[in-house]
This record gives sequence, C-alpha cells and structure tokens, in this order.
Amino acid sequence: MYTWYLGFKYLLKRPINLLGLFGVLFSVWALVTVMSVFQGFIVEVRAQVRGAASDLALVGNRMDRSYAEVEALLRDDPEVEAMAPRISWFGLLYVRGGRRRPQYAGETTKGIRGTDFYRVLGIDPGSEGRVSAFPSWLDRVPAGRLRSADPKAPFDVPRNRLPPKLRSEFGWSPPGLLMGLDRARYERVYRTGRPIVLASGRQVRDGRDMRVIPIKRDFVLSGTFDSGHYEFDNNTVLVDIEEMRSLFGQDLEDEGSLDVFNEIAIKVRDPRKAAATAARLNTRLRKAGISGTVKTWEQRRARFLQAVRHEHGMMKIVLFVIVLVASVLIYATLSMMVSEKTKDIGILAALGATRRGIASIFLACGTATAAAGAVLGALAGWLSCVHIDDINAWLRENTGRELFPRNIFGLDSIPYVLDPWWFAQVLLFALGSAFLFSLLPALRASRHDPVEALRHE
Amino acid sequence: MTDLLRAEGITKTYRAGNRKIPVLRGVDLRVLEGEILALVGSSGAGKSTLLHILGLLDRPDEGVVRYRDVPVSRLSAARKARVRHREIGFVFQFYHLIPELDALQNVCLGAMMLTSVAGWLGMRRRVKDRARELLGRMGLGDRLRNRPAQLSGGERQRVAIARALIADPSVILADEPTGNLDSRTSEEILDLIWRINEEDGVSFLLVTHDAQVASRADRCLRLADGVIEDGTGRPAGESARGAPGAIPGGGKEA
Repeated sequence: MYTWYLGFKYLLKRPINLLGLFGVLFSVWALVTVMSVFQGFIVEVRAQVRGAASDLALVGNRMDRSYAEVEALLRDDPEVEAMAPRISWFGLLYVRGGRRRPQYAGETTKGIRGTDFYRVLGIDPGSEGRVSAFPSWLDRVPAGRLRSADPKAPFDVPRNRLPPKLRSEFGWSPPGLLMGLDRARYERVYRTGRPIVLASGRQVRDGRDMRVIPIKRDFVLSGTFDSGHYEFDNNTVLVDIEEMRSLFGQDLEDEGSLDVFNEIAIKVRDPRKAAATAARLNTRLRKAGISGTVKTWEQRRARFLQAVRHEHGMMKIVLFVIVLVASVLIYATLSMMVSEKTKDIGILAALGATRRGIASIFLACGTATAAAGAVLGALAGWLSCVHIDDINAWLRENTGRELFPRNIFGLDSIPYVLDPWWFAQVLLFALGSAFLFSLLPALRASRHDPVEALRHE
Repeated sequence: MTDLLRAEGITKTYRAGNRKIPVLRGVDLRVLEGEILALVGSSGAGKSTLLHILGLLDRPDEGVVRYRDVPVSRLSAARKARVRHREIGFVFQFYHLIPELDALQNVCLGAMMLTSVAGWLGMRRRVKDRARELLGRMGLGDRLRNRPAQLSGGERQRVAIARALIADPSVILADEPTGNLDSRTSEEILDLIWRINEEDGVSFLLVTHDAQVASRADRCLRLADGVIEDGTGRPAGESARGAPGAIPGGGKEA
C-alpha cells in the first residue's frame, strides 16, 4: 500500500515530475494525432486510387487479339462480374488557346501553347461504367460549360458548342475527348468544344528495323471528369476506344479488323479474393496464349502505395523515438528524486519496507507519471483529430500556413482515422518505456543502504 | 523474566580502504520485556551501529540477534523487514519524518507497510482513528494536518514516536531521541516515553549520552571499546525502580 501512497504523494508534492508528464503528454499527443491523420490520408488516397482503378486489370496486351474473344474466355470465371476494354497510350496534346509553355531552346515560335504529355485512355463508354465509377466521374463536374452535354454519350459534342469552323454541314463532328476538370482549368480551357490535337506514334517492325509511325488526330473537348484521384485526373485524358483502335490501323468498316485492346478492366464479385482470381485468370490466359497479365489494383499502384506506406512507417519510428525521449525525461527526474530521497529510503526501511517495496515506490512514480501523460496525450490527440479542420483554419488565418495540403488531394476536410488499437499500442508503448526507464533509478533506490541513509542529517 | 531482544557476541568491523576499524567486538546485550534500558557511550563508540544491528537494519559480522529466542538476524531480508515492522519501532535523533506528508499521514504510513491496497482500504478508518488517538496522547491533537516543516523539534519527535507506536511494537529503539532538543522539551519527551512505557508496556532502548536520561532508566549499559560495560556503577542487572537486587524487569511484567 505504502508504495502507491507514497508514490502519489511524491508526485503531487513535487512539480518537477510534471516535466516527465508533459514530455509523455506531448509525445503521445503528436504520435496519436500525426498517425491518425496520416492513416486517414492513406485511407483517403487508397480510396482515390481505388476509385480510379478497377479491381483487376489485364495489362500489357500486344493488341493482337479481339476483345470479344478474350472477354468470352475470362467471362467463364465465376468471380468475374464485368469487364471493359481499354487502350492505354501516351501522347502529346496540343490544346488550342491553352496555357503558354516556356520557350525551349531552338524554337522559332514565341512559345508553345498547351503541349504536354498525357496518358490517353481509350474506353468503351457503354461498358466502362460497369467496372469503374466512370459515370460518377462525369457527375462530379459542376454544371456549366465544362460538363459533358450527355453523360450517356460523353464523347459527343452538341453542334452548338462547336466553334463555327468545325460545324460541318454533313453532321460530322470531330471525336470528343474528356479531360480532368482541374487540368482543363489549368490549361485555361473553360468550355467544351475547344479543339485539341493529339500527337503520338507507334513503333512497327519493318524487316530488321523498327519504324515509328506518327499518329495525329484532331479532337474537341467534349467534357471533363473528376475521379477524385488527383494524379489520375491530372495526367489522363479519356477518348472513345474506337478512336484509339482506328489510330492503330483498325478499320471500323472492315469485317476482318479486330476490336483490339491493350488493357481490360475487370470487376470481381468479391474484392477480397482479387489476388486469387487474378492468379486463376492468368493461368487461363497463358493457356490460351494471350499476352498480358492480370494484376490487382494494388499491384498496379504498388509503387505509389508503398511509398506512402514507407513514409508512414518512418514517421512512426520518429514519433516513437520521441516517446522514448519523454521516458528519458522521466528517468532524469526520478534519478534526481532518488538522490534527494535517500533519507526517506532509510526511514521506510526502518518502518519495515522491503527493498522491493522501495523500488516499487519509484516505479509507481514513473509509471503513474507516464500513465497520466499518456492518457492526457491520447485525449488531446483525440480532440485535435476531431477538431483538426478548425485547427487548420486557425493556422491558415494566423500564420498563413496549412497543416495539411488538403487542396492538392481535393479533400473538403482533413481526413483522420481514430483507431482504438493504435491508441492502445501507443499507450502501452509509453507505459512500457516509462516503466523500463523508471526501473533503473528504482533499482538504485532499492540498493541504498538504509543505515548509510539514516546515519547523517 | 523474559528476554525480548538478545544480542549475542555481536561483532562489526568497518573498512576504510585497507584499514579495518573494529566497532563492535563481541557485544552481549539483553532488552527485557517492559523495561527502559539506556545505552551510553562516547560518540563513535558504535552505539548507533549496535542499534541498527538490533533493529535488523544492519547485519552483524558475527553473532546473532534473537527476538523472543528466534534468531532473527539470520532471516531473509523480507522476513527481517516483517519483524522490523511488527515488533520494532525506531525513533531517531533527527526525527526522520517524510517531509511531503503531514503529521497524521506520517503516523499512518507506519501502519501501511504490509497491507495491500485493498487491505488498506479496509482498515483505513481504523488506522486513522488510532493515529489520531496516538497523536492526541502526544499532545498534538490540533496539529494533525501540519507538515513536519511547520512543527517544532519537540512536536516532530512526538510525531515520530507516534509513528513508531502505530504498528504496536514490543520494543522501541531510540537513537538519541532528545539529542537535538532543548532541556525542557527533552524533559517532556522523556516523560512521554516513560508514560508510554508505563501504559503500553513497550520496552525502550535509549541510546543517549545524557547522564540524566541514563540515571532515569531501569538499567544502564555503557558501550566502550566495542564491548558492553556496566554504565552507572550499579550492577548490570539492578533496576532503578524495582527493589534492590530484584530480578531485572521482573518486578513489572512477571
């Protein structure tokens, strides 16, 4: 009994112990808050990446097979729910009247407008909606001149939106192209109907040589999209897959031409079994001699997700080290206390305290300090997570700096995840390290010779 | 007649570098039940060392300390702590109160040493009442909530005595209990000790170099050159209170 009693009395009567308490409080606070926000960020980013990606995707097909053939082959698998063909390519987009780019050496013009490298993704608007959230990407664009006229036919541009030069008498209009909403604004494109030129190329084998066949095609902006994944939105434009096919020499009128693709987006029934399904589909593809690999969305974005995860891990280590530093504070204050309390140690021994009991007093002191600090820190962390947006707003107003660049990620508020298991881990760690660091001074206290302690005033 | 505490052939040697300084060289001593025994000697004679050995705080090099015929000096550390708590009270020259606790808490601390948290909750009220009663007997009924720093030397020593008494020991070892007090306060403390001895039957071993204290004690021993001599010229068994030639201590308890 006296161990707890005296431990607490010492704590209460000695303000120096607040040092260790505040050390633990602040470190736990930081640990809990930063990690909760980081975890929220990870969840958010994963959701963004996830929203822009299908469960599985067959990638790396050489565009030598018909989609109908491969679809029929894969559809047999019980886990496959829906599929959509895609052609993913890269190209330079020249946006007429777009943002002026800096002039490069050797250029004779006064600077090039709106030329940048994009991923050009040919999709089938009919089936794409079944494998990804494509229709909602269009819906998320606010009403106005950048919105597609008809979500059912996103690549059509109404005649009245076309610039006069392109309004042909025969009802033909240039093919449509969808650009990320933010990217379109960045390019200073504020309405649909803006002409855009795609320039790219492909390599073909010509005897022993490789030859590059240039590709050039006129598009008009038919609308914009917002998938929520900033990176995808920023670098990708969407066109009709038939346009891509024709770019690769497939003649739509020709009976013998193939409905080629180089990716197939696949939606599975149970996303938790995605990896197993991918493996099964891969064996099936290999047997049929079809090029390409089925990968889960995580595999496809592995590098990005891993980078975020590594950052998370590093941050965790740094913050745990801070908790250790706080424990060292407890160690320091306790050591001081043991030195000051040698007389008390002698008294307690005379009253019948054992060495273990004396050690326990200081252990109780250190652990209770850490416990109070950790609980208060966790509470503070929890509160600051719940009110993180207010804190952020306050910081922005008073310092001009933001805690978290939520605009980049297109978030309305700073995400956070309050994971009780994580809180428990932090509390345990704080308590454990404080216990270990209290052990040293406590053992020192218990080794004091009571006779020595009592001898002198 | 019963021996409460008996030391047999106690030796203790301190080491200063390579030099050995023998402090006790074969001390034999008895504390009888219910007596007040004074131990005098010049400073540095080893009085405190002997006291600590008797109180099981220190370990003799040779010899044995018996408590009611049990060789307690050979027990394990934890058991010694138990005997120390149950049977032996300490009073020091410099009071040695815990500065963070008030008078009442200091006294209660003496009863806490062996109880668990749950056990303490069960007996808390009883112990507090007893502590209040003890402090009342010491004349400190109105100073229960004062911390040691707010008490005078005499008052602190009274608190220390109350603390020694709370666990109902059968013997109190007092190391110069009046050594730091003026003569009037010393007198009061000594009266208190005699009254407690009278009322509770607690034995006292008073280490002192105050001749007056020594003469008041039932028996007096002198520690010189590491061995016990008769302290007052009276034979080492004769009581100051009892009839001449009576069996030491026998006049009271037996």
